[in-house]
Amino acid sequence: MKVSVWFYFGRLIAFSKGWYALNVLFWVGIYTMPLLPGYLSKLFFDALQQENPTWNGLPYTVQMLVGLVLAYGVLHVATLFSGIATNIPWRFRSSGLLRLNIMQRILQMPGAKAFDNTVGETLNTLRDDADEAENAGDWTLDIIGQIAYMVIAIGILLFIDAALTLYVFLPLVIVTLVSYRARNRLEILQKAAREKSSFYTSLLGEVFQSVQAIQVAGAEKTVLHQLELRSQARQRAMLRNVALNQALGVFSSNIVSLGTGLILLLAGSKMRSGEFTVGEFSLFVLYLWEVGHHTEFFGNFIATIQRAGVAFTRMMGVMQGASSQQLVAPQLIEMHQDPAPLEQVVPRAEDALKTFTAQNLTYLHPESNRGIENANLTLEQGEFVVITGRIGSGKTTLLRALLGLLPAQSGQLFWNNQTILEPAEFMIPPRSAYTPQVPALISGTVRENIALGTNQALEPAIHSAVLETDLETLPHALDILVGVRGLKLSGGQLQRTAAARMFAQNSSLLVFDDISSALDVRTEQSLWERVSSLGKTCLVVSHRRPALQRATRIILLEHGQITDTGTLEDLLSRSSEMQRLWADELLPNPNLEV
Amino acid sequence: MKLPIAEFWVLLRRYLIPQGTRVAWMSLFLLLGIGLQVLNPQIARRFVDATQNSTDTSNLTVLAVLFIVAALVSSGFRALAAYVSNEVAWRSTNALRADLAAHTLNLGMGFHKSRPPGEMIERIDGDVNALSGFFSSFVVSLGGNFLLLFGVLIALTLQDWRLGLAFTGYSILGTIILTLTSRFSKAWQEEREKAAQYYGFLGEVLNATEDIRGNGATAWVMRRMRLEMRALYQVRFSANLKGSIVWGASTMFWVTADALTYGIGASLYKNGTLSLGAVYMVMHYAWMVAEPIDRFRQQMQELQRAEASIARVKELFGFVPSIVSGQLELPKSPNGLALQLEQVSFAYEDNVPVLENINLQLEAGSVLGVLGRTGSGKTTLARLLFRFYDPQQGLVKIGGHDLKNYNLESFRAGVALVTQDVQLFQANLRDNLAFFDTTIPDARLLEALNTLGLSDWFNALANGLETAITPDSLSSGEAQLVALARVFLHDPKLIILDEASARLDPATEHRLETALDKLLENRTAIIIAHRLKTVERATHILILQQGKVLEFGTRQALASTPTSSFAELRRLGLEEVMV
Repeated sequence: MKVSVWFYFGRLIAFSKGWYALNVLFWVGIYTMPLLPGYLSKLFFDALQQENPTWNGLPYTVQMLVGLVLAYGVLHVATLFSGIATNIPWRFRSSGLLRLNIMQRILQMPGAKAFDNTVGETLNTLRDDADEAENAGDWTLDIIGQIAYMVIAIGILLFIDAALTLYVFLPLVIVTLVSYRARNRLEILQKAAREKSSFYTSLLGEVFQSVQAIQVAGAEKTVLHQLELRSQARQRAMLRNVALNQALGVFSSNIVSLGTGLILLLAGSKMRSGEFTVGEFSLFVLYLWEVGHHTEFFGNFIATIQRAGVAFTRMMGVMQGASSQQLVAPQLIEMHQDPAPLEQVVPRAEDALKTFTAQNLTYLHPESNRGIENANLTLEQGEFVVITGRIGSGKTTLLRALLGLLPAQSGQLFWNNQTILEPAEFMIPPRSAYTPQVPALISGTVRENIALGTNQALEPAIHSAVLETDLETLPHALDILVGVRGLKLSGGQLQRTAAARMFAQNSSLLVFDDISSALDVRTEQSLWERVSSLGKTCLVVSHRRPALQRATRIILLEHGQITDTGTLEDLLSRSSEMQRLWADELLPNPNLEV
Repeated sequence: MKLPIAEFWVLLRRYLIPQGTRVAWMSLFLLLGIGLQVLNPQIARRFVDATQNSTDTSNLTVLAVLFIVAALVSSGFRALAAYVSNEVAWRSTNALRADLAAHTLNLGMGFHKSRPPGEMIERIDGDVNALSGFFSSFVVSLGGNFLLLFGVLIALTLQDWRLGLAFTGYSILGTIILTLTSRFSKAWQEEREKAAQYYGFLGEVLNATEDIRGNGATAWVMRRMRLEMRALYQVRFSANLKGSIVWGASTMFWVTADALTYGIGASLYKNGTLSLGAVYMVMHYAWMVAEPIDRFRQQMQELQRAEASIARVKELFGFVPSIVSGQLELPKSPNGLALQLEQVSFAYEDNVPVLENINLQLEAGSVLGVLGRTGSGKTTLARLLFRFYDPQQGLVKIGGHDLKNYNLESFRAGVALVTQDVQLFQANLRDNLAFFDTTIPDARLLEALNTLGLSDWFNALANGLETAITPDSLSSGEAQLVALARVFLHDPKLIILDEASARLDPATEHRLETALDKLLENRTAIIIAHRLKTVERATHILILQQGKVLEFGTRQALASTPTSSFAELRRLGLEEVMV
């Protein structure tokens, strides 16, 4: 169900009630204060035309007006500072809350399918759409201030000359209606512009993710050309937007001139007869001018709110089916104090694996309709189980479905014979931990990336991952920055750092996805030796000899189906697929000369 | 405020001059709009005087209509100018984005290693967005506002020289004060850097969702996000507060215009120099003086942001590609190219040597197998051969010439490198194979897929080459094969395979071997592996250990020397076979 943007703004305002109230106070002040100099200009012209000017019976001079104007200035500036100082926290809390909630949702979704779009597009939503919402939320303050100004200004004008006020402000009503009608068109244009924009930025992100591949392919020119095409498409969409906005702008800014002209037309004879003074004329023009600017602002306000509506829709898209309440759910935002320290995971007896079972597990990728079907398997405590098969046979998909990193379409998982209701929530430390095939680290130190917040000693994990020699050669090795996505490490170091990260989580089931692809034979041998000595249950995707030979049981996958299970000997004796995999891996090339 | 005018000018000249015609139109529209704007208070003054003077019989209705028409036409011109200026802004910033993307794309690995794609988006799109206001407003509004100010001051001087003098003085003083208070661009630069860092972090998290979820690190990541957010907030708060000083100064400036009008207007009216209508006109002009100067203020704020962005754009342009192209074309030898390494040493960071004193010689058409443990420098060797980096010491020669002498484009076109790290684009299969090169015929693409035994896979695709590639639609082994297919589209003289088959299962790897027979024919090849089997086709073997050559020789010689490490490795392999 699509909820109105006002629902979100309402929640964001409720979330920062105090800040918002202060903002209303200051910004209404900032907007209504300029009523004063307008009124002073009326008094000024009155003073020129009268011998002894009075205001409500009080005599005054032009000098006093000059003093008042300057005093007003100082007061206005003071209010302005207070307004800004309270405005930044309010704005920041709004977009910050949205970003935290979106990120939390992303990290709640199955890890291998955490968002539908590219990283670039999703980042775009986290950055620009949250900003758009923050901005539009802030404009609600401006609109309150401007309405306050208009109400007071129009009240004063009505008091001076009711008929003239009505005639002059009639065009303003018309412009507001027209802006409102242009709304749909504007929304369509804006949506198109945003789409083109994210089409461009997502390619930009991918290009910089693939710099090496592009340079290797010598494809700099063609890729840049493709970027250029997308950037031009965005430009066209943006300019269509500008054209409509400017057309609306001409319309609304002319309303002021039209209004002034109307005053001139209607008040001319009254001014000649002296019924309407030059001071009153000046007051009318000034207030009309300001109100006119505000009307222009109303048009922009509508546009901004519409953009925010698009932004909220996109944010909800990233939230993947979460309720709209979740996008604006209140939570603590630390602006000065430290965020709460992490809770340490304390394993309970029932967390230790005795048996882990999957029944009829099915996951098919919606795009290709491939994956795994009706997978059944059981792991017993202390086993070393290897999943093997050709590429594309579904090995990684099986691991992901077992860990809840992909949402199984059917089937059930059991931990110690208890049904696992939420695999994604359950299959984490202290029960299981995981090293993906292509591990990703996050900028920061080696220590942070291995510990992931745990305060246990890291040395045993580093030893188990055969990482100790790499670190010994470098001073302060654990405090070395891993670089973006761990790129400062070699391929093998990155995989072993990821393995150390898994060991450091103190889980009873360890899941490896083809960890050996960047390891040499000897390193891989010592890795498996050290892992075995931990006495934990291991689930390993591999087609390498060192892993297969160590397996207590091998699960053979073909085309997404588990076709056989057993020891290496059993499988070699009865499965032709296993024989082929095994033979290809082991047989020396016939051309090999010894 | 010290405006780096020279730097602005460099950017302006480069990106605005190509749009001379548009800039000219924009200026014309602006000029007409402003002219009418300056004219209008004169009409209002005539009107007021006519109402106050009983002998004046001017037609009030005509004056009122004139006023309305002048205002309408003026704002129409200004809207046109605004549209054109937006167009200029988009065109010029897009040109700048394209240049930046091209420049950074050519920077070496050393540059990109420490910058996440999220940060690059922020620097190329985010920073340039901040500049777009600069492009559209700096010339147009700033110039326009100067014109408006100038026109108003002349109109005031024509009315009475004292008015002209007072408001000219006021404008100069106001401009000085406002620009003095505008020197806070440092704070904005810091803000932008923090923002880039924050979004860079978010991008990394999005890339690592599987790792985070699988290891229960959600709370840890969220806590780090909170820390990054707080840091950004604090910088942003102080930047805004500093920026608001300028705003405060401008408010005082407006107020002073009123005070000035009251003081001078009253005295000139009392001594009979000004009529009531003229006083009204002076007040109108006083706002018109304050407005352009206030716009300067707003532009100063844009400029502060733009200045920070310009500094960062300049910084980006300032990174010189560490790899400089030479002149020589790579020879088109039919038998591949000879390879020579002479005392090559290399380190990514000072004092941490990765390769030390590497010497080797390889004839054209040979196949070199490189073995070594992880971290022994194998991949670094591949990077030197592809000229991602130049060695700090020694020479790498291909075809008898130092790599540095070759034209980089021709060199890289003649060398193929396949690594384990496969990058795919969110685009269709054709674009992923050909890297958006539309000149490669489909038949070539299909042939490449066929050679790699991918025909069955390809035939199962719903839309053939148009099939959209998503992260889920390929297994990593298939992705690896698609990456290999890219090599088959070209005719490289030297092929470097860096663990290219490590993600393949044995059955697929076997298929690949057959394809390689064809690919490596009459070409020089370097095959990097940590497994013996992968280097079986090698004529020469190099074993690296901690960045040094442990062994180098023909495979035959090493295999027949029982004391060699290669022979020992083979025995280890055989032992495993015997289990």
